[in-house]
Amino acid sequence: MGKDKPAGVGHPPPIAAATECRERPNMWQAPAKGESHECVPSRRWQSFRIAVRLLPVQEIEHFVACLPMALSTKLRYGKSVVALAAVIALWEAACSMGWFATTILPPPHVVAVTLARMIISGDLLRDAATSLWRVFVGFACASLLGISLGALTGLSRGFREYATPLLEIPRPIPPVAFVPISVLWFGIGNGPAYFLVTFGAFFPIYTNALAGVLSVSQIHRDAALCLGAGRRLMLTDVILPASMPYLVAGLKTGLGTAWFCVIVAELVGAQSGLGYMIQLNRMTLQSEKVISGMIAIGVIGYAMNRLMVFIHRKVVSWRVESIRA
Amino acid sequence: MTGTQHTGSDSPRFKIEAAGIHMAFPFAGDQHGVEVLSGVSFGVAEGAFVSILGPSGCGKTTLVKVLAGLLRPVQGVVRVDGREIASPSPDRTVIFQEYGLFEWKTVRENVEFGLKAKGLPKHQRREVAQRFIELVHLHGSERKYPNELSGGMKQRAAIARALAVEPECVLMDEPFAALDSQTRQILQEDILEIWEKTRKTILLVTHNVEEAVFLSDRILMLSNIPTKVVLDIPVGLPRPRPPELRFESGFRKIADRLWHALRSEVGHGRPADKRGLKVPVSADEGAFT
Ligand SMILES: Nc1ncnc2c1ncn2[C@@H]1O[C@H](COP(=O)(O)OP(=O)(O)O)[C@@H](O)[C@H]1O
Ligand SMILES: [Mg+2]
Repeated sequence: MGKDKPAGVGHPPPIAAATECRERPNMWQAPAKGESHECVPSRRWQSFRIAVRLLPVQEIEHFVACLPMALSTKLRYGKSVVALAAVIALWEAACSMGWFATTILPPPHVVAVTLARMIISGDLLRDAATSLWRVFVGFACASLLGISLGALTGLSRGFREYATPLLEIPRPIPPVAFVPISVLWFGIGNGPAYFLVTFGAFFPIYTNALAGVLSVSQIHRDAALCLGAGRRLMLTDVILPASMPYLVAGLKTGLGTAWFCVIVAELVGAQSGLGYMIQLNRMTLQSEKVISGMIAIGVIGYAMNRLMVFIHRKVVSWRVESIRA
Repeated sequence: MTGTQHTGSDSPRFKIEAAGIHMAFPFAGDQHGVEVLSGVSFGVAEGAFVSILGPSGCGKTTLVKVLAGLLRPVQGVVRVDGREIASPSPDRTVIFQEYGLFEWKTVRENVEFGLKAKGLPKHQRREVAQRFIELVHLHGSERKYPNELSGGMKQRAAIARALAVEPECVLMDEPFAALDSQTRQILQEDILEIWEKTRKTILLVTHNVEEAVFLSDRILMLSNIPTKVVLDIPVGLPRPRPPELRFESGFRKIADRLWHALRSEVGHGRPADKRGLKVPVSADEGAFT
């Protein structure tokens, strides 16, 4: 592929970038694109010709590389790799054609190198840890509040009548709309993030806890009563486990919202964390860092979701039909 | 069982007794509601196996819930050992048609539930539960969840759960109705065997004539809504009852009589509530009042 490298187009890429590129497991990316990202609109035509030469080669190479994987036992993963790689290839191609200025959209391999550097330096992990801690605190508060209020609302009709309008009116307010007021209230720092995360995660958790308690079937209540269950046993052995599928679903959604909210809070109301990091790098036009941060946000969010799915399966294994298989 | 005051009834002492039970459910646009039970009265002697036979939708489940104390009747009382009941109690456990097993608990945990409610320590719970699991022939499935069991096994687990608390009275609400006929027969035979071993007072509600005849000492038949007891016949068939009994003439005679009565009940009685017809009734069917 090296021989495709067009002379005189842009500057040679930083040497580190080139080596990083070669070390990547998926070697289908042509290094030529490394240069083309430097293209300015006046050289568009030239780079277009290069891209036309490059594009099919990349695609074919990529598909050939992925085909055995796709056909192997891990077909599912193979397919997701295909989709992911196709998007990256498209992105790379678009950049190599010079459709976007580097400051607007750097090509993926540059982002990859930046991401790797940020991980190695520890900056990214520090920011992620800050954000995760805020999520942890806010999510814990939201879970505590949401589950207890949800259970109370579900169990007591009187309480339900008091609480419903009170809790239903703030619910449609998007957490983002709370950013200004929370900065006003809590200043810059952890405060707005804790608040926003708690607010955002509370509602899915509360709503699901309530739905869970209300979903406990009459026959289970009746059976428990006939067997002599008191209030406490009814709560711990019937209502809680019966509403568990809802509870965990609520926690899963709540954690997603929490992650979303922490980033929003950090964009404005903090001077640390992933949200702040991407905002800061936007101001210095380091879009590769911005995108790296966004990728980190996406990956962490995805990982948290997978974790919750895993927990969901574990906790309500009695409900999963596949338990028979 | 002994020494209980006998309040408000002159009839011979019953283990469980329903006196003039009226039950109505609210009905949209009608403040009176639909009257389901309209003065149901009967008594069941201690240790007896009595069946209540009634057409579908006549209020059998409602009656069981009233007897269990899960529903409060509009009028009338339920007495156990001559004392009026106010709430459910593990003295009267219920076996539901839909099993009502806790899906999040294993068979063993389900059976242990009532013992847990009684406050038995863990090792004792397990011991008792095991005894009842074996009684219903479910050993080997102790650690399974209800979702992993067949219908028959689910009902066995529910029976073990209901018996493990050592109730004096067991109320069964069409316990075998959801099962295939083979499983149903096997379970019927098993329940007879269990009854002969334990001698609980059993009140079985069913719409199945053969089931009622095969199992009971006595059969009460209910009318259509609004429901009353319209027939009360003893079943003089000898015990123990072998499965072949179902083909003998004595059995068929009682069954045919009940069939006949039941058919006429199904044929004529549509919900013809005195407060107004809730279901459109054609001219020739409206005669039943
Ligand atoms: N909770 C309820 N609310 C209103 N109507 C009910 C309720 N439960 C039962 N009914 C009515 O009472 C009648 C008898 O019901 P049920 O006791 O379940 O009959 P069965 O068990 O004999 O089939 C039916 O017409 C049913 O619609
Ligand atoms: Mg019923």
